[in-house]
Amino acid sequence: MTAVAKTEPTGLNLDGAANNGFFDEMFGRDGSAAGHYRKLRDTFSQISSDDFKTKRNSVDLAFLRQGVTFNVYGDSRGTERVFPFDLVPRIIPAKEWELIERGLVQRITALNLFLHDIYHEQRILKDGVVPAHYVLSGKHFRREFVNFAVPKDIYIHICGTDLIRDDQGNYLVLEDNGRCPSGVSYVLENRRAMKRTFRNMFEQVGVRPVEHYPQELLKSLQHIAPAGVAEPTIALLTPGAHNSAYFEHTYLARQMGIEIVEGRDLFVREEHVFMRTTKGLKPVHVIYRRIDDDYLDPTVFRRDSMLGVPGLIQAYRAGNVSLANSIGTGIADDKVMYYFVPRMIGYYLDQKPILPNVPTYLASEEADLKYILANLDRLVVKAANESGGYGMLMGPKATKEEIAEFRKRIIAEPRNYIAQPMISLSTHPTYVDGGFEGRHVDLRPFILCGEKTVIVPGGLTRVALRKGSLVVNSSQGGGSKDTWVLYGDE
Amino acid sequence: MLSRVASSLYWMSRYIERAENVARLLDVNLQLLLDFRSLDDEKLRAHWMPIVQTTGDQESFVQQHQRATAAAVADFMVFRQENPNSIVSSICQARENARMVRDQITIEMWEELNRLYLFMLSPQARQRWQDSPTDFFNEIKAGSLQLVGLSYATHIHNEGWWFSEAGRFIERADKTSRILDLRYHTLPARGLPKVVNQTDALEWSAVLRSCSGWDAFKSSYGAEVHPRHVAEFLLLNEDFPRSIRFCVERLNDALRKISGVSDRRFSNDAEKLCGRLAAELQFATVEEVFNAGLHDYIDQIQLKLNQIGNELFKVYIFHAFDPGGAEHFVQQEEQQQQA
Amino acid sequence: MKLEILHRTHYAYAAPVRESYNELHLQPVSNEQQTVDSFLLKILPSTRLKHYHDFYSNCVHHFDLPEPHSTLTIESNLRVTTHKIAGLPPEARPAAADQLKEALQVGRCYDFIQASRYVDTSPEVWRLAVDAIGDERDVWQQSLRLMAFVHSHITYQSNSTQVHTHTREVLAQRRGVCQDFSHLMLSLCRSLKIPALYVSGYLATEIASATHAWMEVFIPGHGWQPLDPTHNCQPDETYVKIAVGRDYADVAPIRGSYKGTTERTMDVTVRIERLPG
Repeated sequence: MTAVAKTEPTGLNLDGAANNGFFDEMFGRDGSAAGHYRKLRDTFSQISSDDFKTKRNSVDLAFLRQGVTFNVYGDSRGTERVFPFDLVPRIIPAKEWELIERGLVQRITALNLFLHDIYHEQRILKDGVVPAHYVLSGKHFRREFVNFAVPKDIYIHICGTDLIRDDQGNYLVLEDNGRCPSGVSYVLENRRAMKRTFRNMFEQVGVRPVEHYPQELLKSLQHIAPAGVAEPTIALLTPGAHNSAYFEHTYLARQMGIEIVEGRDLFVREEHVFMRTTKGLKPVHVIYRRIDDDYLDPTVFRRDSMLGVPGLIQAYRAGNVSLANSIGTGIADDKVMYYFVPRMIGYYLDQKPILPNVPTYLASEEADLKYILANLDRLVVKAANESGGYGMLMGPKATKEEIAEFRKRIIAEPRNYIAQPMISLSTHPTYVDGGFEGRHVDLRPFILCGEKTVIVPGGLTRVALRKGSLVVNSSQGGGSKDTWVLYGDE
Repeated sequence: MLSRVASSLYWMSRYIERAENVARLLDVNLQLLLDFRSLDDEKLRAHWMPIVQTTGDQESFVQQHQRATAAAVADFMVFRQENPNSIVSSICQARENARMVRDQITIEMWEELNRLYLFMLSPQARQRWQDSPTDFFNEIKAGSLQLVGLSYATHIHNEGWWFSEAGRFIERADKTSRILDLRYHTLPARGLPKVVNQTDALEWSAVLRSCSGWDAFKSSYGAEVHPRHVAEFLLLNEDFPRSIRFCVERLNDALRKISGVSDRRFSNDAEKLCGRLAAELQFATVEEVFNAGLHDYIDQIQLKLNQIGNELFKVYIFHAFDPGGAEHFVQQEEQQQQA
Repeated sequence: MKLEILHRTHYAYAAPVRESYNELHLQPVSNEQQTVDSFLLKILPSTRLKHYHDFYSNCVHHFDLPEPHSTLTIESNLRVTTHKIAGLPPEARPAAADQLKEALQVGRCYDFIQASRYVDTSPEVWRLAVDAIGDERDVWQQSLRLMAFVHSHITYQSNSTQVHTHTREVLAQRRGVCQDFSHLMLSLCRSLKIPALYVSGYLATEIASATHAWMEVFIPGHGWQPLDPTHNCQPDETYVKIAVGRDYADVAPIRGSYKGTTERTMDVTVRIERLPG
């Protein structure tokens, strides 16, 4: 055990925050801080704990006042909760990020090619690389959308891919979110908060900026405008103020300088979409929609949806309005299709995946099913179409009753379940109860597909604030950190 | 801007203004009761029913309450959610509209409105009311004034802000007119009253106080309260912020700012009607008003204000495609296959 | 057989409605069994009409009417020549049930063994199916037995169900119309994993007053074979097919939405005339 440099008695001490057995972002096995964390460690040792407390309080207050909050489902009192923010940033050296970036670009390219294929020729199904019934039985495979021409052949324009690190420090893809991924507003606000709070550190450390995300998003939206429209009107379609991510919707709309609309503000006439404004009907050319397929158009999808726009799909089909993300992308982030993504990369790109999947078992494959049922107490079982951490069994932490319940469900509907070994997420020093301890983290970079594929350096690092917990979602006790991608390696 | 957003900003302001006016009205009239010697049911009724009528809810009140006592009226006009014009209903509606356009209003405005809303729904509200009605009403008034102030000082004066101005001044004009009309039954149908006894004078000064106009009135007319002066002050005064003329002129400004058209022309029916009303008030004399009958004159004003409001909505919110009212989204009937 | 068919649907609303968006499955396919000689679709109030082909290759027309209107008339005029095609004879024994497994690998069969909006494959239905087929092991024969079962189990009665009735209600009350007979047949077939699809169309009889519904089963080696459980027979050249799908939800002749009053009436007229030749 190497001697750790003594810090000032009044300074913050991050040492000792590493957990045994897990890969820690900051500390190696021997307890020494990785090179790219050195400057952070030094800076923190100059900050007194009172000073630190003041900084934390002012950040929390600022977030609350600005409305960097989320609505907890079911809370109608108009009070919102701040998404807890930890001041210790997660740092990624340049060469690690370069690998992540290459891997993500490869993955999103394959996913978009896959989507184009299954909504047109379906060659990957005909060649048996992916069994057809997995696609056809997918809840999000939209038959209404087959043979549709999509602007610039891009299906997923905005993707949030969740990455974790195993105990060897390898980056693995946990899942893709290709429908309405959220969280990027926290990325931007976290960075602003950190810059205000640790101004000097930024100058010393050399962190790549993230502020250009809204401009890049706007560019990719402009890229898909219908042919012949020189200055497209772009709008963000939101379910409304009751939605848990409403803050992000308004935030992004404001940052991009586009109008935020609800379904009832839009109107389709002869397959063109219009906004109802005080000065009359104004045409809309591109819609960044944060509403799920099912609720988008009551004449095509759910008949009872009050959130959508009747006739929108016809307008889309006629090429008079473009949607980001496109319809039917949910089949690509289906947890069962996830299993086949490495095969997609091989089939469409003739390459091996740069970022591997987490080892996965499909309950609908017989051999896998046997394995799953025999090892329920050691596996994490997920329902194929749920998100947010619900519909999930954490084998090693579950009770006998919970395991028995899941066994029944899996046997009843095997197509709906996948299982993965409990991957120990990496940990990161996080401020808890007056000191620093390791807490599990993951990483969600945001990938934009426009004329080029652009990934804003870093992304949202989510941290499970409860000790030992592996669940990082905001609705279940998670928090976030700023993510720093360095220009260099230190 | 989006029609829906304009509509929400308009109604948010209108409801806030409504809550404040009802608070003002009740506060003054409760205090007024303390000045009277004996109050029997008949007197109470005569005193309170006109107040209930200002919100147009007489029928509903009569259904729910036997006697028109202070407690009953206050309960009805402050706390009843079933009464769409009560203070609590107005604040709930204001907040609901604000919530729909969260991103259009400043954080401070939302926080203040939300605070007021939570207060109204809490047990503290009733407690405060029981302990001291005046304190309670002051809380409401203070909250509302803070919102108006925030709106002026922090909300960017864009098209949306002008819609909220329009809502505010239409509501204020309407409520002032109703307050002025409170005591019309003590007046002759036409012409000015000859004699004003002490009771009437007290009631007319209550009318002024309900509009926070007592001090301003005194400085113009002195301490003698005659309905002629009160009417002139509240109807035709061009400088008092709660006078009907002042409100209509501000409304006119707001409409012009929204359309960008100068006030020497009009580009829609709302502007046309509002311009006419403003001109009428500008050149009216109080003798003409009383010769026509104060009550009738006020009735006409209320009608015209309604029309202006409707036209405003027709032009900017509903357009050709939307007759307004509840949006009923209906599935087309499908035919069964049964040959 | 040469047929001329008029299908008119007339909606009348108690007050003008607006923002009406509608999709139509009214144009029949042309295939081996029938040739569409002419087809005309008329919408009043007049508006632009367009079409696309859906996942099941049906021709779907669509239009919108944003302005206020008090009535909506949708009228199709169709001339079609149906051909006599020999289906499988009733005694045939073309395919054993265990051959179905391979059939299911054919992509397009997948949808037709799943439950759908109005059709389920519950254990109750499965038991009924198993009883109905008895010891029969041939798929075609099983289908015929299922059809006979449906025909005897349900009584045809107009107005006993409505357009959104689910098979479980049909089973509960044992009454229905062609739509319900067909849905129940689909339920039974699919519970046995026999691919079965829903057909919407016309039946040229004297008293036709609405569209008709029947279905098709997939027989390994012999493709899709039509069956009409309402009449317990194999469709012949008096049947004109419009569209196919998983159930009624995929082929509703007219489906749409609008903004306005719920007080409305719908009048459906179907007139079928046999032309000489």
